[in-house]
Amino acid sequence: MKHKIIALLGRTGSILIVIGLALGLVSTQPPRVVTSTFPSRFYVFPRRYTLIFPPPYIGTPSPRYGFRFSVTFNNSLQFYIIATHPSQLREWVFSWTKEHYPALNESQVYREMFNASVLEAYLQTHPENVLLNQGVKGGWSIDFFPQKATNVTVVFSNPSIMSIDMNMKITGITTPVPRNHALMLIQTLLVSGTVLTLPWAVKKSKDYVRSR
Amino acid sequence: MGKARPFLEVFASLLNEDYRFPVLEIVAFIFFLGPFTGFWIFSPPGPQSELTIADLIGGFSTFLSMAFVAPVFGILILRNIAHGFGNELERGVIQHLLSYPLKRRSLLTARILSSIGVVFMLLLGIMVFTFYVVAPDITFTYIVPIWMASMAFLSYPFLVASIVLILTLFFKRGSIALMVGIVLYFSSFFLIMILLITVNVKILAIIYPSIALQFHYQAGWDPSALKLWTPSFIEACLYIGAGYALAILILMVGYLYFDRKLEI
Repeated sequence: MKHKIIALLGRTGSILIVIGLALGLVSTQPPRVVTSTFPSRFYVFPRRYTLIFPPPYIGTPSPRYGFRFSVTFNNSLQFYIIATHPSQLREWVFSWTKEHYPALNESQVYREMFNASVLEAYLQTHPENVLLNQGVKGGWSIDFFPQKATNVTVVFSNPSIMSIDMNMKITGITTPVPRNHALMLIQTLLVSGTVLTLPWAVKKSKDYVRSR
Repeated sequence: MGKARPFLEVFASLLNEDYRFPVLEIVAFIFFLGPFTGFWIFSPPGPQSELTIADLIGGFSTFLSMAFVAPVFGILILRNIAHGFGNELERGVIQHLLSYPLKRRSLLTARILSSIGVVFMLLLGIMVFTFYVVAPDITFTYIVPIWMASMAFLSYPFLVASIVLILTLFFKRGSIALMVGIVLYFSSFFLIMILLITVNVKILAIIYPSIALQFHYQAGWDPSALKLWTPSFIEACLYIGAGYALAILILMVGYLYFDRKLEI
């Protein structure tokens, strides 16, 4: 009876391993391009930041539908993806600037609100909204899939004292399975499958050696 | 343990015979990989919003059901029952199993559990897991509809498995059951279309209960067809129950025949 239980668990384990491998195969399929923006040119001025508004037709990213950001520029920049709608972020920085610099008139507030220090204030008060924070240099591309469907704002901050000329293209890409989720499942399946299969595999190999 | 032991012995021997390594592993691999690949190839391009329960039951699972559930289930059932059990009856190997201190109905139960039960549970588990992989949030939120949908998609293959079993018993060989099984399993799409034109959609929903669930969520069919009927969720569940009741009724006839009438 003990051998039969070992065999039953072993076969269960081997099925888990196979499903884990199949899921691994599915999740390694390269993302498929479904839509994209035209390449756009931006200037990021010294010690300032630029908000990029992904156009509505490109959709909202989700665990299975993400964005590929392809950027080329002539210096190094700080790249952020923030989980908030661009207009909300704009409203927040506007009111924060107005509150902290009450002496400024409206047009001065509009100019001052794009200072890198204002962005720093936002990032410090809303760390949970920062989905990606990365220093980037030269030509660069990244595939981004959020953990859950959310509006995003792309921010480029220029910490240097030189203006940066930048070209950017956003491409909508899709994958068959949410990658982060799949990775965790693959690990669980492979580990639990191996644990269940090991005693059976050892018994099988012992039987094989004994029969020879 | 006295009565259970011979039953378990027979069950284990049938399991070993039906699923030699790596039959189940290959089936699990194909069954898991297939729907993803198909859905990936045939899903329309364009920005995708978050999936809903209707998308899952209407789109993804229709493909899963039509293209994979019936054929994969069918291959194993035809191999285990029409071919395996049919040969046992034809060549008299069944007499060896009858030498165990077991009632005939217990022997048939062991055969059904091994040939149909294991495949059923495996595919049911993989289907629910597939839903979880594609949309974990929805699967947690709508766990009951997801289970019901998975059960609904397996209802028709289960019904055909019962028909294949009873035909194998009646003819004491697997060839006719094999032919009927192949026709029923591999033409499910065309059968649905023919039955949709010739009979009422509600009668069709007893044979294919997944239709009741798809009509409830108003997904997976042409909008003009969906206007025909909008059952409530409870009603859809009753249709799933009716589908299984029909299959179990056929199995019961098989039990009675094997227990009382079949001469071996």
